Amino acid sequence: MNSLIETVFFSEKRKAVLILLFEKGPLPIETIKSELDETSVSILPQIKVLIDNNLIIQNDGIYQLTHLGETVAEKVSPFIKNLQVLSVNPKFWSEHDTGEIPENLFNRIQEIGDFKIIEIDLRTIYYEPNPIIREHIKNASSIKTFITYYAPEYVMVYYDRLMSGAPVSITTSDYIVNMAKDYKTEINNLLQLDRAELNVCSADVKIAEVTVTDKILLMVLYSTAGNLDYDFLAAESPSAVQWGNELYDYLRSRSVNKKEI
Amino acid sequence: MKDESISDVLFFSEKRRQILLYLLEGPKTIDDIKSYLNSKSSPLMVQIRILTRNFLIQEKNGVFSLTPLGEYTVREMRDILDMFAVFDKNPEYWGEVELTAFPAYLLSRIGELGEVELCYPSKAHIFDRARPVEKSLKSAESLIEISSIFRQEYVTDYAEIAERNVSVAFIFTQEVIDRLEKDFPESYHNYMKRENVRIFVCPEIKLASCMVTDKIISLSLFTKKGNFYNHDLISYNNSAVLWGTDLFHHFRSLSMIHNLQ
Repeated sequence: MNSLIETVFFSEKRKAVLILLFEKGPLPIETIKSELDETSVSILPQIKVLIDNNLIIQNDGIYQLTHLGETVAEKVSPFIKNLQVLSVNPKFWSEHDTGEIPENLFNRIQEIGDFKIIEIDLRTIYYEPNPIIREHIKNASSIKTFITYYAPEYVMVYYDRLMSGAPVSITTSDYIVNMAKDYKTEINNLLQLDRAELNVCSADVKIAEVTVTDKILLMVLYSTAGNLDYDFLAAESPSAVQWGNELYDYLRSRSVNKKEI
Repeated sequence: MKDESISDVLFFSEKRRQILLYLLEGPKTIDDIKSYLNSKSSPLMVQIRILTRNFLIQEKNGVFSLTPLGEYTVREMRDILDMFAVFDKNPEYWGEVELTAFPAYLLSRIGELGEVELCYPSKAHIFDRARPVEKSLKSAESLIEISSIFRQEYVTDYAEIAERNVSVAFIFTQEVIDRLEKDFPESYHNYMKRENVRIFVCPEIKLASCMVTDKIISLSLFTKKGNFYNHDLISYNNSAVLWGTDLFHHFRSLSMIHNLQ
């Protein structure tokens, strides 16, 4: 018998078989071959290793995980999947502070799937919204945004959405709310609308922004040194939006709802 | 060079794993790492360069630390290695026993059992508990027993512990309670009247027995075929005792308190 490290990690094919059976359940060899694009000759020896190490069993031509195999796959599979997503841009994930994302959500980071990093030209900040970001928000049929930095250039984009009938939920810090006090009357009038929501959180939450529409997740993290570099992570899969909603709900749950400022 | 996947970087080198696990304790200088690994500079620097190039660790003013990506990755790796260490210590055993006895979330934390020892009795003691179990029972400050089998100790050693007024909790199947009540009425009634003893009845327990004291956990499992042979899988690790306590809470939530009819 081999060590589990050898059995699981020393072969891409074995790793792939474990993850496949974990995700799809019991499968005949033909399906395993076609799913993994392998031939009998290339995959059967690896399957035999998994069988010899008690991780899978074969009955009547159907392969499935043993309970031990399932325990191992349940531990390893999310990790491998997460690494696949993080490996898209390991530099980004090594330079940005993710400590504020709750562990149960970060452990599901695979759900954001394909993402891209939109770098904002710092010279344009304070004057107009970034065109790519605005494009993503301008037709949104709902917006939730958690933001701890001052971005007045986006106020009109959000105002447009609110006026078009989209529900808009904003969670921000005391500090930002104070900066907006000049527009107290206008803001309080808007907050009369059922579809407008304002929540106030403490200023020391170390996430710069999480914006979730019906179509996209946008996230800005502080650098490990605590600086803001305006690198927007943008992910558009439905699972990314779902993940973003959960992150937003978590951040909102740590804030206080305000009917007026 | 781009072909290095993070999981290969983690799992293909024992030395790299050691460096990473050491850095999980906190930032370290190169001298710290050298003396911890008892290694010369040059081979160590090769590994450190690989880890840096893959964004898992960073160096600042001669101090090495994990990046956020490294922090997540190494925590997960440690959990996986802990689980693998438990399974790899007794691979035949884990391949053979009925793991559905445990809820999935506790199986996923099985690495917390830490340094386990599988004790089989000698022929002359074939029906006895393992020596370390007998010994630790004598000094137990608390006792939990989850069991679907009747053990003679329940009316001997365990009764003595109950006499010492330490907290005792039994989770039995109805069958075990019936046997106790019918064949050992004196012991049964003695338990029932003691304030420090609680008896719960659980409709289904798929493990043979599990004993948890303040110092030790001992597991006895059925094989997948439903057979039982006398053995104790023990661990003295603190995390193992906590794991056992969580197992108790799991079964407790499925149980009713047992009262005199």
